[in-house]
Amino acid sequence: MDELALAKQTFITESGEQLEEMERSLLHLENSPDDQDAINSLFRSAHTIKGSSGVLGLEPVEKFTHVVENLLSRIRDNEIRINGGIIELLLECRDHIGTLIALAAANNELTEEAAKKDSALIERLSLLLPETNGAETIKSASEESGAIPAGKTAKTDAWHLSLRFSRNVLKDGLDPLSFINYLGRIGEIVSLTAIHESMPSAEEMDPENCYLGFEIDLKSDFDKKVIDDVFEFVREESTIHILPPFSAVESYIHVIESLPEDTLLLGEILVSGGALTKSELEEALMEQREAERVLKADDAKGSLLGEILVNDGMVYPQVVEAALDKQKKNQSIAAKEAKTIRIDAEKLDSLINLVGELVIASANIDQHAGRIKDAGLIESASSMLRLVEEIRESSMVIRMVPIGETFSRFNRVVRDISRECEKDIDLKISGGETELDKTVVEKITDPLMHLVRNAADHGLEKTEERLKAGKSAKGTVRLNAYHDAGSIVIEVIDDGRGLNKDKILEKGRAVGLVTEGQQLSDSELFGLIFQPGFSTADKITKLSGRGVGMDVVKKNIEALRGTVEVESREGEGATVRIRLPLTLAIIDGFMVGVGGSSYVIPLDMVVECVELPESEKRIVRDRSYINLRGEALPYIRLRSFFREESEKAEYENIIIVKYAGQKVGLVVDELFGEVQTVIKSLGKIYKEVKGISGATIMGNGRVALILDIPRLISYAEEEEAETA
Amino acid sequence: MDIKTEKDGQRATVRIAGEMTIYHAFNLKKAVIDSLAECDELLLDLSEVSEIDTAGVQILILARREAAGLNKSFRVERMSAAAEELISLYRLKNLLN
Repeated sequence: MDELALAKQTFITESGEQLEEMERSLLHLENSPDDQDAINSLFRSAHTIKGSSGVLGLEPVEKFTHVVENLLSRIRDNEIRINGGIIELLLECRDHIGTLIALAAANNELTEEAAKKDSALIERLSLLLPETNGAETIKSASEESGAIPAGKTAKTDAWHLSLRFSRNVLKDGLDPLSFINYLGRIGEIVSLTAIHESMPSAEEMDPENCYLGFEIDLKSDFDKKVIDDVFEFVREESTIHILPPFSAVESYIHVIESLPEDTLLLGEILVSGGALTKSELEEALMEQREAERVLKADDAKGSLLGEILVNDGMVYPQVVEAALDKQKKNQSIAAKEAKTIRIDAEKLDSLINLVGELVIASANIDQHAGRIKDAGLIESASSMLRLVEEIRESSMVIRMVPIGETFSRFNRVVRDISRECEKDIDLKISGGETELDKTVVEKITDPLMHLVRNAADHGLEKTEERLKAGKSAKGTVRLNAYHDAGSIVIEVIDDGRGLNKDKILEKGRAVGLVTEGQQLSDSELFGLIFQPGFSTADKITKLSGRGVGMDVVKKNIEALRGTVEVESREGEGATVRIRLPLTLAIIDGFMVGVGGSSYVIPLDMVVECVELPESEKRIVRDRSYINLRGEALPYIRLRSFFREESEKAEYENIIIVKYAGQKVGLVVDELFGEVQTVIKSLGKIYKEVKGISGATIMGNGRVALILDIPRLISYAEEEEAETA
Repeated sequence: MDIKTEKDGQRATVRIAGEMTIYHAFNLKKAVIDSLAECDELLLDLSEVSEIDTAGVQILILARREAAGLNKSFRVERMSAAAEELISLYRLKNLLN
């Protein structure tokens, strides 16, 4: 892949993450509209996308995101207050940016639909943005510069810039001197003060870090945008304040208060640079303290502020206090840096493949070592086996991600559905820390989406109906996940009206799936809803009810070697339970021999092995179950199931396996013991073969088939039902 | 990049030649701090510095701060054109002399 294509790929991946972050922030702001952190994060995400798309020449993305960024910039500067309507608009904009990026990824031109949406959204955004074109006039400059209504304006005609570069700016390949040199080219640097207060003692000082900040006064005829753009590439990580000429005095105070260094020191710098005169500074500081004192009149702190002592040295207690507060804040906000690393998924897959081969190879060596009976070799082989086992486990863990990340995406889905269906729906999430394989996570998202939509759309009743039934006005959809016997279980639970058994039975008969007089258990009845074309919805809503959904859901889950079942109580709600295997690549298994062939049973489903008792052996042909310590255990003779023709062995064994609370015995000839195997899929031709979910290559090079226990169990159940 | 240290009693003169940049920042720091530890007076001769960046300037600032803390003397004696340019840009001449 050439470099540009690689960069584009990275952009698409990272933008995806930025968009997710934006959505999170927006949903959070709906409930906490004053959260400055969320607003900043929102702005940063938009800014990053705008910048990167610009570098890559993706014009539509850059242009649109730029307008969004403008709005976010105003919100960030407290010029526009965020409200429900704005959040709604921003969510739409976020979605549109995603569309634009997808189009850019596919190298497609803007579709008509996208273009229309683009202009519509830009129009709505522009309505919120005040006029900003052209050079700054004196009046608009001071209006724009601060959230605080302009009282007095400073008399300086120079721009004041406060630059605090991030620690890592030098390591990132940038140098403040280039920025400052450039400023010198677009204007005249009237005053500059380098601030090195944050440089630690020699012991701690890292010579590759940047500890310098700058206070600069610049006379320039260029407008704010030009000066802003100078810092385009460091904006995100660094703190840059730009105050236009004749800014409100309070804006300067606002800026120096937000900087880490001592307020007085900074005040002095401003005065020496000419931004403020000494009297302006003093007056402003005093007024600020007065204002705060009035606000905190009830506070104990407030009464302290009342004791203002003016010394020659100009030390206001509250200013000192503010300075101290600032210092405390700056000390060790040791941000817990999540140390993560980004890996190409393909590389990870090939690594895991290799680990799989390694597992087989080391098992080989172990076997041969046993045969040669050399003590030293046996020991080496066994320690190698142990190490390989550890590598295998570690590599499995790498691919695991917590399902909580996927679950939280549904907040947006539920919110949108709530609005569309005019219902009050609450999404509750539990078990988010449950981990599963990354590829499984990606493939389970769509089915889950459909199930959540279903629950919200069909399951949950409208508010009046709920209240009439004595339920809470708010309907709840709950996503839950947990581990159970080598599988991960994901549940979509709602407290709505539940499934209507009669309606399902009726529909089942109408469609011909159920014959007259046929008796179905609850689970079988509910299972009908997964049949293609089956839908008992009275109306087809925008979201669901077309009957094309549930069967696709089931197919997708089965493609992941999982199962799905439904539980429901009429009037109370329904639970859709999905079971998925934890790993897709390597499994621990128990190998058995039937006839001349070998089969592998997933170890976590094996309960016990027993020898088929003589007494049972004789009767076993007439019955489909055996008596195991008083329990009736259905069984399958793998020999006849797989039509092995070779001679029957003298001894037969039963492996008892369990899945989803049901036990089945598998009658086999030989027991070979535990193995670790790499699952190789069988390919399309063998997909329809019942009872086999894959194959593996054994130590001796031969192929063993991996049994699909869930399907074997359901087969056994069917058999039992028929002969009953 | 080359660092030569000359000791004359309690005075150390450190001559830096070549690129006084981030690529040599660690070495520069070490030379400066070691000299300050061993002597009471540190002079820096930057007349042969061909190139200097912010990391290089930071070493100078570090030297000034450390010297002050140890109550020792420090100053930059000579500057090449390149060194003077950046030190002037950053208005650090007073601090370093």
